[in-house]
Amino acid sequence: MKILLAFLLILFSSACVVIPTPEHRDHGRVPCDDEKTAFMVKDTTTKEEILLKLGEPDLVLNQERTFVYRWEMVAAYFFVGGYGAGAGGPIQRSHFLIIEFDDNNIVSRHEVRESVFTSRTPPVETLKSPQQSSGTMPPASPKPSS
Amino acid sequence: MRKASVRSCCRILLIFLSLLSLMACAHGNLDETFVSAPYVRERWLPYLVDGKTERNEIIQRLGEPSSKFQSGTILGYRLILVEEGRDISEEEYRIILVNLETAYLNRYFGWVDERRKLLSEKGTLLIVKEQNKEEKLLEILSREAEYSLVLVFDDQDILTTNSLRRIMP
Repeated sequence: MKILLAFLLILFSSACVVIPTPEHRDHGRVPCDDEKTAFMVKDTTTKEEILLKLGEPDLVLNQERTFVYRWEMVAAYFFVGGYGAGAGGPIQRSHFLIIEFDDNNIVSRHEVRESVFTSRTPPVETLKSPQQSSGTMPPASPKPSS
Repeated sequence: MRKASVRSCCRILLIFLSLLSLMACAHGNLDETFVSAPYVRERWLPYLVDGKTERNEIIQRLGEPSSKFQSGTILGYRLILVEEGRDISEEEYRIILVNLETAYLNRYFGWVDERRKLLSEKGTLLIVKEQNKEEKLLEILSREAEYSLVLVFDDQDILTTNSLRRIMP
């Protein structure tokens, strides 16, 4: 009986708490947020300007037609407590800036995507625009030629 | 009796205030001077002059770039700030990581500031490429800062524009 009571006490005295916070940067890449990408204008901004202002992309696809920049922000903190032990840490949210260029190396589309509570890069297919996905674009090359 | 309790209250308050000020002293801001892009440019890349420096000279000094764009008219270098001239051991890597973690967790950056100062004197910019990513894994993971250098050349292979961006941390 005493053992059962102790077990129940241990079981019910453990807890997990998630505290959402305003998104903020902890470590990692400098975010390519709205402030940093305000200069970008569709059908006007060139690939050269993008590279000079944002640096090298983290991923280059479709023979330099698509650039992807990735960074992480802390969206919440978790705390897990149990009998005699506890742990906690940040929960990261991944962000992806996807930029597409036309044949003249001008920005044709750009968007920021967020991946909720996962740091995994989304599948390459999901980064392409609908036109690209339908097969009108050249095949993806994972890295620029070096 | 009352006087004594007021005195002890004052003492506790005084101890509390001194502890508070001590904590305030311990919580400092990171010194960004030695890792800022302008400093790094002046310290390690002073030879980059728009309209003057030639492509060959840059490749001779920096080595092959991390990436090329627009048929090689734009070169990209991913540079990390690390200890110069030697590979770091696993033990050194662990010490760096523990110290960094502790510093950021406690918001006391004395060790980080000291490392940055030391790197400004004895550090180097290492180029990260696909070819050396595995070999230099410990250096990459324990880097103090990371930069993206983008160089644009004209058809005469003369540098026309360049930019150095700090991208990490």
